[in-house]
Amino acid sequence: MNPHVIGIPAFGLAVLLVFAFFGIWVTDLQGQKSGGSQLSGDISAEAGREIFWGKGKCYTCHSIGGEGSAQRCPNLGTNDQFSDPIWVRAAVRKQSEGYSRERYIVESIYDPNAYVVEGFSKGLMKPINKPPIALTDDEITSVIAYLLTEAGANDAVPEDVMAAVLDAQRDFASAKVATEEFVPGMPVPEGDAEEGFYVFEEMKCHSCHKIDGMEFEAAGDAEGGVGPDLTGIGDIQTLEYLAESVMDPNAIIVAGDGFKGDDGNSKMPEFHDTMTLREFIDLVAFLSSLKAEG
Amino acid sequence: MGDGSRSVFSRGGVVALFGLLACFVAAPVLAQDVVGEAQYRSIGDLDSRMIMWVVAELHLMFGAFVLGVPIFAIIVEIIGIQTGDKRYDDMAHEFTKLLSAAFATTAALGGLLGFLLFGLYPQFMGHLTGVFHGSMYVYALLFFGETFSLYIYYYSWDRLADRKWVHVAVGGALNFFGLAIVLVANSWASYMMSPVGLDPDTLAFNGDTWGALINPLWLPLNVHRLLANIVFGGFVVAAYSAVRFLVTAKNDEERAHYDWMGYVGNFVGILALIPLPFAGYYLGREVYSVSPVMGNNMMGGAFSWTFILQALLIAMIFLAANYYFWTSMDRIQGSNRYAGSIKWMLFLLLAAFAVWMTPHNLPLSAAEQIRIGGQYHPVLKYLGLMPAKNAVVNLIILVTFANFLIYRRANQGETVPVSQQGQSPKLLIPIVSAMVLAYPLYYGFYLLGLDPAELDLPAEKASLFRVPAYLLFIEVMVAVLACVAALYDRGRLAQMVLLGLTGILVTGVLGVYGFEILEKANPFLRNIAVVQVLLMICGILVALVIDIFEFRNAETLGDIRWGDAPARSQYALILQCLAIVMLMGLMGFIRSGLREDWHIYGVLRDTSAQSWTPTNATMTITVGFITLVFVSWIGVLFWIAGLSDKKEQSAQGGEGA
Repeated sequence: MNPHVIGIPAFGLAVLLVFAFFGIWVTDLQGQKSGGSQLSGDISAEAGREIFWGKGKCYTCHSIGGEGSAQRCPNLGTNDQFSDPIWVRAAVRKQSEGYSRERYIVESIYDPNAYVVEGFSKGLMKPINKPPIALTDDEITSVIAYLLTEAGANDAVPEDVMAAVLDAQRDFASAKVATEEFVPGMPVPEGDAEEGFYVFEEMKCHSCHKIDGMEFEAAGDAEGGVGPDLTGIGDIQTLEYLAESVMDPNAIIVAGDGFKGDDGNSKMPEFHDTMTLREFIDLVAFLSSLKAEG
Repeated sequence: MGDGSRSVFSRGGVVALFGLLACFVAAPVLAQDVVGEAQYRSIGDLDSRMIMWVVAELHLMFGAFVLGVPIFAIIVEIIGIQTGDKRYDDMAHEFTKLLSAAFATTAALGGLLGFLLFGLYPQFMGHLTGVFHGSMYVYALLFFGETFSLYIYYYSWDRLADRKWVHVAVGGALNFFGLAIVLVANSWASYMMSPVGLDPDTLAFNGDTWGALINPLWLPLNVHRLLANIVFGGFVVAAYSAVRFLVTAKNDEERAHYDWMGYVGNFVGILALIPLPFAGYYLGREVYSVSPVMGNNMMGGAFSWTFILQALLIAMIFLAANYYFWTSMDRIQGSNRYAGSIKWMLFLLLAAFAVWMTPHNLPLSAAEQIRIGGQYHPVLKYLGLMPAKNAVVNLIILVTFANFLIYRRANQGETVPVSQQGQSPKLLIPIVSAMVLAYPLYYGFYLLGLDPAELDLPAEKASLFRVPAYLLFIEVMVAVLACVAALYDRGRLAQMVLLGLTGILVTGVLGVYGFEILEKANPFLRNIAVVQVLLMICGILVALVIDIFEFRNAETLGDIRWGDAPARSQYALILQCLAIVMLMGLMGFIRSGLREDWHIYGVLRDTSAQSWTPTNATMTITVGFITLVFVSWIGVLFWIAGLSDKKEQSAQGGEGA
């Protein structure tokens, strides 16, 4: 029998097996895991770290000091080129234009080409809230929290800094707020109550909710009365409560006639995916501004 | 052709084409089902993505064969006409017969692939049909064109034996339809990576089919796939010949035939393989341009280690090709004169591959990091960066080309001086060289005038552009001097100087200079790579033109003893074939995987249960399995096609008796 009749298939199988085992070995070496990963919905520096080095793909262009290998975009820690990390140099980068540190970082994520560091290419980074990365606003907040805790070296971002981030984010965030992205108890930054008035009107909230002493352009269908009277609501409820009521009307249903439907749920429609984060914050600010004396 | 292959061809082809058309007819009906949420279906508990992976890859492999082989066949047929050597014509004929057997399988797999796509991924196919339905009808019609031209090309072989150029024209039509089919199908695949014509806010498609067809990655993907198909066709032919040589060849005449056929298959494959890294670089560069995230993910992210595996397979192919050259030289009298140079070439190749396969980012434990003083090795980290990779890839190509030159001249003795060869070298060497050198010269001047602002660099960085420009001018000048020297019978010295200089400039000078650019003017790095490619093409082509005349009508030290190739040289051809099949599977994994959890990048997200990227282990096991299925399947098809030979031979034997 011709030895090559056995030799050729044996040789071919050996080559394929070597290839397969090399892949297995490399996978083991990398510590690569199969399957998808699920992120927690919390806004935190820890979640930000996970996003920075994972889903957000920030690591494909940015390193932080000696962590990571990317050189395409500025190192966000320190290296030969930058003596200060981003959480320090961001404070002065657009100072002359009145930018705070937080505002600069927020802008560089939502509108990366507004300021490009010398020596790096314009157009390389795309807005991170848009596809293909398409992080949610909350996820972006977490990434910023991670950077502002000196890349996770500190425990937490001070509350005033976090409020400044969310305030700056209001001007850029365009994604509609989804219920599942809203985490009860999340800090709500200070919004613009006057803008919130117009959001209230645009969303036709006054169709169901009455506010004494206020007039709105378009008359609502129900002329008020289906939902609770909101006159002076800012005196008795916190920002967080109001935020939750807007995003999740069923979380707490005020006792009273006609507020519940036949199914036991609130008659109030869901507003998720209908307003932007900024509109949402302004609306909550407006509701909070409704004082009895006002 | 015997009856057996005729029935496979006609029945299988008709069934497959019917399936393909039914698929397109069904498309609008299925598309109506897609409005709203993402929709997926499954076949029982089977993993839909795995089914798609296997079927799509098998279809692509058969497709590469049936599109690559006609290119191969027509080239070989033309060589046969020009040289009057009937062996070329017979080989082209033999492979067209194999083609017909593989064609029906390709079409059947295509039909299955279409049904699976529409069945398992209705929303995705709804989008794709909405954008491309016009081109899908054209695709089906092109298939008819391909089928009929293949019929005519094969069945008119003997009838048009005395009108060969008419027959070549039919082959040209076959290649035209084959190429058009690839171009249309590539537009769908490339659109998935670089979609265009979409409303930025709603992501609804408001463009036209033609605009979507010529999306940014279409052209680079076409170039890369076309070259890869030729390599694929050449290496499958070579492996087929090797198997026939080792197993089925009955006598010296058959052994000589298959030995020679393997050589030609390998030669065509290598010829297309040499520019393939450049085409790959072009495609990669455009991927970066389309999406830096996708680009970085490719080389520096999730697929960086997959690229190490890719380098391993390419190393396998180049080493096998060079090994084949060296072992095959045993059957060439006079080749022992060059035996001493082989070990140096082997050393250079291994060193180059070691650099190519060095990753920049090593997966290290904390203890290992402390031992080497950080996450990166102080020296090896440089070898993992693009300038080092570009340098060694070019070196590998140069060494392989040098090996090819040695193989070409192995049995050449006394040469006829170029100055005594009449007017043709005096005309052709300058004309061809001028054509080759024109673009590098232009590019040198372009670099000198390049405004740094175009690359978002400050004005003072313009000084960094001068070095590569001057290197291009030096190369052009030396190439011109080499041509002059060749005309004055100093061709071999001129070749050595030119190729030596090319190697030094591309690998040494620009390899090192690339690191400076990486640090000081990163966006200019891509221009450095272009200069490296131009220097390499310039050196290789001018050296080849000189070589053709240098050894024209040279005295031979003895015929090549076809049929005397050692068995191990044939195993090198089989290895090449396996490596190119696996490489095709691996590159398909990378290209598809770059989209990560997007069906259509940035437009239609993959929300299926399998939207995660498989590990390299899953990839090598799956690609290994697909390779095994493909080579076994095509082996069976070749065997079926070979049955008709036996029938014809026995019929001839009967008549003779």
